[in-house]
Amino acid sequence: MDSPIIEIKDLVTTYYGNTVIKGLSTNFYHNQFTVILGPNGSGKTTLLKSILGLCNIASGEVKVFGEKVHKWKYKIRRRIAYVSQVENIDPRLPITIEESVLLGRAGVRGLGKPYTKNDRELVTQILERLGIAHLREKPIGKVSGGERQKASIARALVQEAPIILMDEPTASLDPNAQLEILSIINNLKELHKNTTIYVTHELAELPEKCDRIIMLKDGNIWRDGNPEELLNEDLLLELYGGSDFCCRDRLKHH
Amino acid sequence: MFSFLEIPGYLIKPLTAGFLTGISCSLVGVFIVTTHLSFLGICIAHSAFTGALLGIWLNFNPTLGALIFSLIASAIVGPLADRGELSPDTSTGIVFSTMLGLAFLIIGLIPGSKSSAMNLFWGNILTVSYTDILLLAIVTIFLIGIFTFLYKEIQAVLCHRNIAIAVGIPSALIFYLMLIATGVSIAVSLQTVGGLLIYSLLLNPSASAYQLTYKFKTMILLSISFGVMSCWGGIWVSYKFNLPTGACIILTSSIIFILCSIFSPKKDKKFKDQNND
Repeated sequence: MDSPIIEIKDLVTTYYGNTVIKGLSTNFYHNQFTVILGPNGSGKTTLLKSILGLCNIASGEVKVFGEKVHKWKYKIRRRIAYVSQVENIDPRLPITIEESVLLGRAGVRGLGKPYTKNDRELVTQILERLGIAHLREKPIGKVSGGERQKASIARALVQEAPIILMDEPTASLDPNAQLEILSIINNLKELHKNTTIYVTHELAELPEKCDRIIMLKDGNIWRDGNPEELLNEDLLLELYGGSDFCCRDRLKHH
Repeated sequence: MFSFLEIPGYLIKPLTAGFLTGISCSLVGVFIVTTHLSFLGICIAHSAFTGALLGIWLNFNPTLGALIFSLIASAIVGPLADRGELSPDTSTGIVFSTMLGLAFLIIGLIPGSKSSAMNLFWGNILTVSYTDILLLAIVTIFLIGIFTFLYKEIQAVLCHRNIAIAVGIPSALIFYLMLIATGVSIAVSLQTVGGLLIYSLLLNPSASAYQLTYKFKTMILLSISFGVMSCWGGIWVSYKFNLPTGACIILTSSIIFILCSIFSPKKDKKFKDQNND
């Protein structure tokens, strides 16, 4: 197997004095689509933020491309694109969809250097691929939540980062918008050859083309394997501890 | 407003100072308004006021005192807000009340007449010196330079610090640079607009611009225009009707804000509905 792109060793993170991740170790490899499943509070988002270097690491380490991450090491983050649960930009702010997507090139371009023609062309290409090119001049406050989330995925894609982290990107959307975003995520491998880590707790939102599933429970890896092994009702019931009906019904959608 | 030949000689300096204050306050105002940190602006303004009072009491340049204290306030409030145990408003409120307490203590300690201290409350653009104008010019050029050179980085941080972090921008560095710029801008404008009034000049022009546009660049340009219009309009009203200049400047900026609110395309019901989804 190739050398890992992300190495996590004995990671312990704390949040306001509470230990969230409890000694987690794993590696992520090139062009691997990993889905992280787990109930609320299992440490999914914290794991992503640890990779971005934004968590308080009490012990252990996270290395990206062999370099230890830290909140002040901003250059390494140019190689990690991040999509959050909801678009963070306040819809009242004076910014168009195109400008918001162009921000994905801001770090790559370098401090104090203006955007180039190539940056703008790349934004146009990605907006077209995601089917929101017609909204480019629209203020961010004048489009729907689903369209805003598409713009945030577009921003991650124009970054052309070798790593994409997605934190429940469909969590706040209505069913139609969820399906549209999922179809984009399912095509991610064709759009970009990168390492993708996709976090969700929604079984109905599992991407179709994932290579690996990690199940988190109580701040550590509970199961790690391929979807065929892990996506069964018994394991999911044990993971989520919910009712039999709930898991079976949601898994049917996959 | 003024035809060139009609401008009395003694108004050249105030108009120049007004032009520069209008630009610098409006630029940092864009930062304060878009990041919803208006309380931070009032905290830094009052810290600058305290520093200037200290200068008067201990007999050193009040602008230097204002500069040091506004930078201290920025340096305390930024990290406190970042630590996250307290909300940014709470930590800002603590620094604000401490600075205000210090200000009143220093006023009490200043021997004799308190008129120079009171001048800092209201400011006096009509007595502005060439040194003040030079300082204002340097700070204005510094701010224009920052906004031009780091435009895309500032835009990312103003949109959301998490976005700036995620795309690989030194978000904390840009945020603190903006806090420092706010402190410096307030400190050098204190003598002209005054410790109590400067807050409105920081807020009103950019809040007015915010009402009118959906584009960030347009917001910056409109904010600058409104800032300069407020200063020049205020000086003109003050000159014509023999009224306090600082108050006229602020009221002009408030009138501009009211007009912008009335004609704002953002009060459109459809826009509000979409954002309440």
